[in-house]
Amino acid sequence: MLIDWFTVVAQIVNFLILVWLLRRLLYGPVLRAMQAREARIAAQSAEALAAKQVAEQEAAELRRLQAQLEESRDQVLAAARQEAEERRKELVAQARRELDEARAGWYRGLQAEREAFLRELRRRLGSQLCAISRQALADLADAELEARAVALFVRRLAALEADERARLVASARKGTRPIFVRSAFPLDDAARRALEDALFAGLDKPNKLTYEQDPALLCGVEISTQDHKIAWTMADYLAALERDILEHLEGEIENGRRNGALLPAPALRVETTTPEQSHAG
Amino acid sequence: MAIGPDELIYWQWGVVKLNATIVFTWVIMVIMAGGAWLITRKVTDAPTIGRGQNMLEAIVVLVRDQIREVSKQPPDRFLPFVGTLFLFIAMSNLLNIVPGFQAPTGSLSTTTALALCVFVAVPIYGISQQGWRAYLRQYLQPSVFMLPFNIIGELSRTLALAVRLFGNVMSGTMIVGVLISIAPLFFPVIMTAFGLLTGMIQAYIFAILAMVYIASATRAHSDSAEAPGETHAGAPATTGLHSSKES
Repeated sequence: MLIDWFTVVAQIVNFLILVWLLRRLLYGPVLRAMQAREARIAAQSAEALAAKQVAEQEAAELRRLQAQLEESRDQVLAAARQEAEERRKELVAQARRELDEARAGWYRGLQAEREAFLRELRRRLGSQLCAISRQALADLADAELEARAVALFVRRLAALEADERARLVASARKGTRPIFVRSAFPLDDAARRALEDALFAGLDKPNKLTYEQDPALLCGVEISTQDHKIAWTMADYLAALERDILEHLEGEIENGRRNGALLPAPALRVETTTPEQSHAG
Repeated sequence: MAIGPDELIYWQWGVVKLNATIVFTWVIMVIMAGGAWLITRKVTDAPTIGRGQNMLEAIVVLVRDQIREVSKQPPDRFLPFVGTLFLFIAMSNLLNIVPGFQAPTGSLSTTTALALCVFVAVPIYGISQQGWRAYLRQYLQPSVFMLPFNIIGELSRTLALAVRLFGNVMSGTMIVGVLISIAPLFFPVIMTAFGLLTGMIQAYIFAILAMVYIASATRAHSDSAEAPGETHAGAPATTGLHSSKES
């Protein structure tokens, strides 16, 4: 008989005991440990998930802050750039203004200098011209020319209004000073007689004339009392010419300054005055 | 010639005797319970665990997964019974390679005892799950005329369970014994190694079949309780196929 029933019963008992033992010693502890570990892992996982969510929220917050920061930085940068640009433009404008002012000042200085130079040049030119003319006339003048000048003077006296001559004579008569007749060269008697005749034609001869020689007159005759003078001399001509030239040049410079442009120096125009424009004073 | 460890009797008093089957069963029990106790007294739920605990957890997880796969039910109710079946048979067959060890599973008394345990456990699980009436009504399915055949099937499968395990283990031992007398050096080693494989497979088959029987007894209630068209409707057919394939 292969089956021993006592052994069968014993083995059943043994097996049930083994089931109980393993349930106590093996399955229970191992399952509990596994469940505890799973629970802990789940808890850790949930914890990690929560921490991750918190971290993600914080990261999002940080990203937002960073974006905000970058935005504000950009704004600040743009503002600073704009300010710098405005400042630069301002500085450039100021520099340009200063430069313009300096240039204008320099230009004005230059113009003034040039004007002064031109004025001086013109004045010298006029003076020189007059001096040359004076010298030339002085060189040319002699007794013969003087005689012709006296003749001319006499003719002019004759042509002069009688009133003029009367006023001269009256002033001579009224004053204490005699009538002076000045000439560059000594007048001979004929010339003196002709002069007196022309002067006192139709008038009372008041007193004796005083003749003087004055080389400064260059050529010509001058008759003067205390407050009247009738003259026709080269010196007067030249003085008038010089005055005329200088006045003209001054006028030219004033015109140039008023027009604002620095005109090229005008060619010297010397208007020769006719003897009819002789000054009587 | 001794056909099993039952005949190796160390001590006898009347019908009470102490044969190799019982003694080596105790040896196995001591090894298993002692080993489990040694390891699980230091059990921990820390993330890092010892090798022993790792091994035990691997075994337990393996058995649970198999039970869950076969039964389609929460495995912890069946784990102590089915797991112990598997572990006891596997340990017994494994230690068979130790010289002088007499595997208790090589005894028809032991396999009969295990098969009787299954034979009793199936209605216990079934009744506890679905009650007397629902369990007993299974024997009347699909009609009353099938009652004798259902009862015969119940008995015969228990017999088959016992004889299959006994035959496999005993034959392995016998073959090694025969081969030792013929070719003492080389072939017994191969056959012992082969017997190791066979032993593991038999442990697996025994435990799985027990699980299938229990599952079929408990799942009938689940199926009838669930709404028609549920996915579990096809499960008995699957277990039937499984059972026929394994046996």
